Amino acid sequence: MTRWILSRVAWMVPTLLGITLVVFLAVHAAPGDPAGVLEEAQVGAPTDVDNLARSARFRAEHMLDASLARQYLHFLGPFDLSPAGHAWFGGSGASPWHGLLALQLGEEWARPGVAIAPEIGRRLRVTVPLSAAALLLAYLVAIPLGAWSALRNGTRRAGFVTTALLWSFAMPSFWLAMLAILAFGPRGLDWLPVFGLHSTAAEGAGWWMRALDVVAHAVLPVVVLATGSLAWLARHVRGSVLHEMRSDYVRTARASGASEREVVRRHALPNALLPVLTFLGGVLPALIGGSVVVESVFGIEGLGKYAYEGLLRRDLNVILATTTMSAVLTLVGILLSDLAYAWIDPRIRVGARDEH
Amino acid sequence: MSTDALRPEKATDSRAARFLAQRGACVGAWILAFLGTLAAWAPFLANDRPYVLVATDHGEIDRARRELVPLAESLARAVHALDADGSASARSPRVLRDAVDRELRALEQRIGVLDAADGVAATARLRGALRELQARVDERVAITAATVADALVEDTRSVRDELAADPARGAQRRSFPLFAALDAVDVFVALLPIAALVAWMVRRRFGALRAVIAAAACALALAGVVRLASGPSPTHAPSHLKAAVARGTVEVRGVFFPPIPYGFAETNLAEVWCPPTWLGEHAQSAIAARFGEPSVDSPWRHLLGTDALGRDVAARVLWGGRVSLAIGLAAALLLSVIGTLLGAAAGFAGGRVDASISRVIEVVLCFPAFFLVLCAIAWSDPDVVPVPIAIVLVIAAVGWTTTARLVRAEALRVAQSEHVMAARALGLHPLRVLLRHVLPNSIGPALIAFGFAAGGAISVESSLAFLGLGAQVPIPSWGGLVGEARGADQAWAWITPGFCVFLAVFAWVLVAEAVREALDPRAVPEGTT
Repeated sequence: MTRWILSRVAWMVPTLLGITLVVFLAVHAAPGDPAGVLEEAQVGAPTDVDNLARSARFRAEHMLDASLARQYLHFLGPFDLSPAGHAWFGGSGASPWHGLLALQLGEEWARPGVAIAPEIGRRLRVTVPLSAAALLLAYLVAIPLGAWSALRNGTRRAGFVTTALLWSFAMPSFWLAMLAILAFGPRGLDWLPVFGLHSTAAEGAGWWMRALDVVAHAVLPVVVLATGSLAWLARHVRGSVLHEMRSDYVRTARASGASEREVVRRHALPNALLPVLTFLGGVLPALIGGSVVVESVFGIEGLGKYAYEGLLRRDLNVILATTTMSAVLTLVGILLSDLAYAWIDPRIRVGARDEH
Repeated sequence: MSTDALRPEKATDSRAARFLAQRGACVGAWILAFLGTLAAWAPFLANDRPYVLVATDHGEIDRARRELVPLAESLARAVHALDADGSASARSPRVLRDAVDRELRALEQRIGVLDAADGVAATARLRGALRELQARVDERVAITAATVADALVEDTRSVRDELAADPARGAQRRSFPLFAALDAVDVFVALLPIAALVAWMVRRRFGALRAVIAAAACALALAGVVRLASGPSPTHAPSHLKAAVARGTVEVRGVFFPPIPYGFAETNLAEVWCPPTWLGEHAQSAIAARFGEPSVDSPWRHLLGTDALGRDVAARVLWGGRVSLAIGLAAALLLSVIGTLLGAAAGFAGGRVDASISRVIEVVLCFPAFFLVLCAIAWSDPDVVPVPIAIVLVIAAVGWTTTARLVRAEALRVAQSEHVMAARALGLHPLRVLLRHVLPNSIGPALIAFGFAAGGAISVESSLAFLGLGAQVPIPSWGGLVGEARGADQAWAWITPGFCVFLAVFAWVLVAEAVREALDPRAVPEGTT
């Protein structure tokens, strides 16, 4: 078991390295100089002299004049390779640590002095609960729905559920979000708040009022986020249940006289729902990608909105940090699901990994 | 497998029949055909240029009158230059010859305008002189060409004076502004639905594949003819016709407009945020309908309302389908090709090739692809790679993994089958075995994944466009339309384009489901999204 866990964790390393490399190349190998792009994007923000000095500092900090490989190592960390960097690499030793591995993500261009690492920590405290809630909701709806439509396979009602799931898959999340705002927001039924996660009215109230306020704000975003993953999950649950219902041991159970109810409850469903955990790997990337759209429609200050704003400002530090962070988040989620699966299903630990 | 082998007819036929026998396939295919046809015919359905216009363009006639003599003079100068060079080297350089031709064409066009406007008598003389000059230049009779050119200048002067004496004269001319503004791509795309229909009708006689190829080739050929015959500069920019009519410089006798007489970029600041007119809630005073538009109190005036700049939403939705559907289709095609090739190679070759391709697939699958797409689009340089193409490339670059994984699994199976072993035993080159024997037999999953990929590409593109990172072309995409109207109170501007995205994705998914069902009816329906 320990060995298996270690191999899974070890496998994350090349994946993460590959991701940082891709992100780095996407930004640096593109034509145009990141500092130049920044200067262009920030026209008129501070005074010109100020701007030039800052862009010079930016160039020095990112070593934009060095070779691409050196830039990447500098970006990855944990050693600072610049002239003021670690003594091992010919630096003066003034600032030995730098880069992702040292968790030094630099500061925002638009707001000088705001460090990115704590800002990302703040944003994660919004995005992670939102995504977890959406995942939970998606699972809670998808498992009964998928299992039910598999057990009633071929009936008209099951067909309708399958089609409805296709609708929810095809629904563009930004459109669904706007429809939800229109329907439940102040212009429609006026049931739920539609912007941000807190309202000023609830600030002075007790903790449970504040909690209720946050929950009310989170309902629509969570539902919209969950809808994107719902269809995918339910399809897989349905496939898994159908697969088990056609397997030999179910036939044996039926032949030995077990009632249909008992066959489903005792034999088929437990086995069919085991691999549900591994579906996390398929849902999580889409969920975290979808948070960009959902958070920016609902005005929620999460990681996705941070990344989007960074992109609009062409803020190199923010983009590198958020993209890497989203990848780490996904990988950690997948790792957790793998570990849980291995804990539940001993076959995984012993045998080859089941490619479901 | 075994049931297919026992059947007398070809396996592909029965698969096609199984595909068509499903309701989902029919619904999906009809929706796609409907949306695709609307998008392909958008220039004919929504345009601010009329199909036919019978009108007197006083502005154009005046301009032609004024330009007649200067053009003739510059033609004479060009002929003289050609002349001087011709006597020295006896071989006129291309540049000079081209200059003369250009001047000739310009003058001919002005004469054409005056011809239609002022009757034949005055301009017939000019035409004759022009033709003679052309002949002389062609024969390279140097001295006479110059003389004729000089005579032509004198002629144009007298014609100008003759016409100037009677400025009110002006006859109507028939023109086809909508067709003149089409370029070859527009024509090709517009012919595609017709070609598809014809191919469908003759599929039994010639075989489906041959019919499709022949119909597409015909459409391409016709588009090529149009390209050669088309006017100087086809454009989708808003036309000046309505403004000219309002100013009175164009006097219209007859006109035939498309059903939606608005261009996708035609603004009307007098009619900002007009709700759908059939609701009857719009203000009917103050504004006046411009030339060719339905009257202000007509329920058909703006079927889907107008946006922040008074642009007609219906026209924009029709044109927007061109961008969304085309990007979705192109990205799906590209990623299917990449995924099929890599997947088949991995499954067939095995060993180190398989291991490395599989690792890459795993890495890409784990990655929140939308972040990478955002990142790459924001950083791509529109001057190097146009944004629509960049979107297609990036979607294909992150989306090929699903296809590759499915094809790999199928290729693994096919590689063990007897006919592949036989091919290997015969000593065929592995590449040949891969391309001729493994690939065609493991393409089924790629077909299934194609529909999902096309739907997914459309939704990714619309999300990008919604966030304002999409193609910054004058033609908006559906997602871009929703994004434009995002913060506004006016829901009519974003409901329809969003619904179109939904419909297109839904139709593609339905088709993909039906393909899966047709290729493998007994298989457990597993996720391929």
